[in-house]
Amino acid sequence: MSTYETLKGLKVKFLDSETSGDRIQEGEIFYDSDRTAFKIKSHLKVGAWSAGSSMVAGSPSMAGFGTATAAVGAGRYLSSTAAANTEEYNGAGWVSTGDLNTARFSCAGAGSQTAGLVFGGDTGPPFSATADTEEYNGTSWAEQNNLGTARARGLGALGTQTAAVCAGGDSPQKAEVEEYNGTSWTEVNNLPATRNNMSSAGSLTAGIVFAGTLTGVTGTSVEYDGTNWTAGGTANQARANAASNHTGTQTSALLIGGENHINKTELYDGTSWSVQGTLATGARYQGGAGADANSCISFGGAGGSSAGATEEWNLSLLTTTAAAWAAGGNMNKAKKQTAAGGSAAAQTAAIVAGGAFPPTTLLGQTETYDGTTWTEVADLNTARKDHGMAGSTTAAIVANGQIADAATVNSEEWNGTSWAEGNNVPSALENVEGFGVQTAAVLAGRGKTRHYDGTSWSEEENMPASLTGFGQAGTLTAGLAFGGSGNLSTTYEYDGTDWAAGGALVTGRRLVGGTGTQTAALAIAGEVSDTQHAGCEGYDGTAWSTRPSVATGRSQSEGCGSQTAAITAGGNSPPGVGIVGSEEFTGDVSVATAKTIDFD
Amino acid sequence: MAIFIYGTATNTGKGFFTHEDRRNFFLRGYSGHDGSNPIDVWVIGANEKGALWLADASGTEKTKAEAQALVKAADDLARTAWDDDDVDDESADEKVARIGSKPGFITIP
Repeated sequence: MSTYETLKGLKVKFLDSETSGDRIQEGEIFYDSDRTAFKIKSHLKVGAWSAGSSMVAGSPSMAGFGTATAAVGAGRYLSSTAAANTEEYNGAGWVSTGDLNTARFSCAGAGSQTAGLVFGGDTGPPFSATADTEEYNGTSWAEQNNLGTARARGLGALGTQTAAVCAGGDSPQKAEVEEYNGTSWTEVNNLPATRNNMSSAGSLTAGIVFAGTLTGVTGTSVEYDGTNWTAGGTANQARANAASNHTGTQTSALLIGGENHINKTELYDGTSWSVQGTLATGARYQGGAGADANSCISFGGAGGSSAGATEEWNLSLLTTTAAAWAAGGNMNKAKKQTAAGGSAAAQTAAIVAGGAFPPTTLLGQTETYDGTTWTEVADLNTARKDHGMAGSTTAAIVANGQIADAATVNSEEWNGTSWAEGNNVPSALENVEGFGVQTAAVLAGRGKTRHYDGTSWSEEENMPASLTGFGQAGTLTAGLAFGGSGNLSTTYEYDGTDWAAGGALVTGRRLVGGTGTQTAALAIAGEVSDTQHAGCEGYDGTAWSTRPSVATGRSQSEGCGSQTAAITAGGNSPPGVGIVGSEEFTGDVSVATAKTIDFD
Repeated sequence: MAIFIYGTATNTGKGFFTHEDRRNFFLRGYSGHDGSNPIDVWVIGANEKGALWLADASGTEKTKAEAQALVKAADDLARTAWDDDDVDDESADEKVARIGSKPGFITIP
């Protein structure tokens, strides 16, 4: 029998098609180690869009710039008017930063998250083009010298904060081009024809503007070398008001979506355009950011629920499945004001104990979760709600809380089978939270901090504020408390001795669930202005950013597991109606996939 | 084309909606009440996969007004339960501290 080696004179390795790390070689031909299939395969780059976290205040017609993991969306058309909002994306979620000095939409941007530039735009309605230019330093905006010609609506934008190009625009439709040197704008050679509603990518000396409107909608492009404009390739589908990877290059430009809700992506290699993956939701007037063809984001845009949506583009040997919440098992009894093991437990080994069955029946019930089914196990000796808890399905501590309209000093230890009385907490409190493990637990709330060492309680440094209704995560030596009654956005980091201020939640909230670690925490749902909230956020040890929402907005729920594999159970929606369902969160998952080579 | 589909379907737990479902269409759940029993109300992104999900979940499509009425009925019950939950000699602030603030009304998107 002929072999590949006989035919081609090459030895072919046996490899696992799912192999990872540096064993993945693009284009390498190998036999899949699943020899029963006898398939010859190769790893090939595949481009695909996956869902990212929603914007804080998503809407159309932002200026987008930066990279896929350090992007900025500035200005927008929000609530029927020009807005000054600015948001930053860190690759996982969005956070609000300093507002533009001049509210605008249909503006353009260039540069990076720490050295950005926004120019032009519409300050209406009614339509009013501006020449205003502002520079961004990663925190705030500063006024700069204006464009020579006020313009808006799909400007071409190339380059950096100190070497930028502004091309075309409206109204009326323009061909004028200006260059910015970090101080002022200078008129340079015009575009070959008036153009607006365009997309663009690249630098001042190697840029490209493409698609948009000439006399009609076009797919043509023109390339810029710093002096002259010359014709480039024509996209397969003409379109206007599409997004692009603004900080990409002339030889790696992406044309993304566009009017009217086009979902196709095209890639320019310096010569021609090729059709790539499709957006989940066709979009127009959305923002874009990305440094090359391998990674990019498309965000905001016009049209229904897509207004705040973010999608992430990856052209990679790895296929990424986006993070999302899915239905978990239903608990045996709906409950609120319960407590859970937190980060010491897991998505597939979770525990909740106590709580209230709406409206006010106290519960001693304990339930454990194996990743599929909630099982009712031994009850607490003292039914309670608004208590603190820390630990796992095999070793946990429950303390304080409310019993019969009064706070209690009682604590109980869980050994995996039953609850036994523990030593009393120094004082009776309710609305407290716990984190850590049974032998190194923290009980915090109402300004107090207590440690449990597995035997006795000790009084520690007070919290900086008398918090109730906050979320918690982490361990005794690296803990976290965030949010709280009053729709607080504050975060406090605990090192086992002292509390220090951390980054602010994007959306202040109370009765919020939490889990994870001090540097990888998850804030789950909660209540904002007395309304159940579905939004979630992630903390990286410095700042919070948005994460995918739970399906059912809920307050007074609890969390177990990590920032990338969590479960939330119970809660209120609306107040007074207990939730029996749980939801499981799974973070982004990237897997290498090899393509079968067909020799037939 | 409408942005959302509205419907009722009982959350059966694990697998009722999947990670893939959440990526494929908008989904948001609300507590409703049909006058006799609690009922799960869902607002679903109006695309083919969203519509198929409601069908697979043995759900019943509703108009937006019908879905909102079911949610309002649950809100009304929660508000009535809150009003009826009184303790002698308890001040308004003490009541809020004990059982939380009075539930409001939820408006579905």
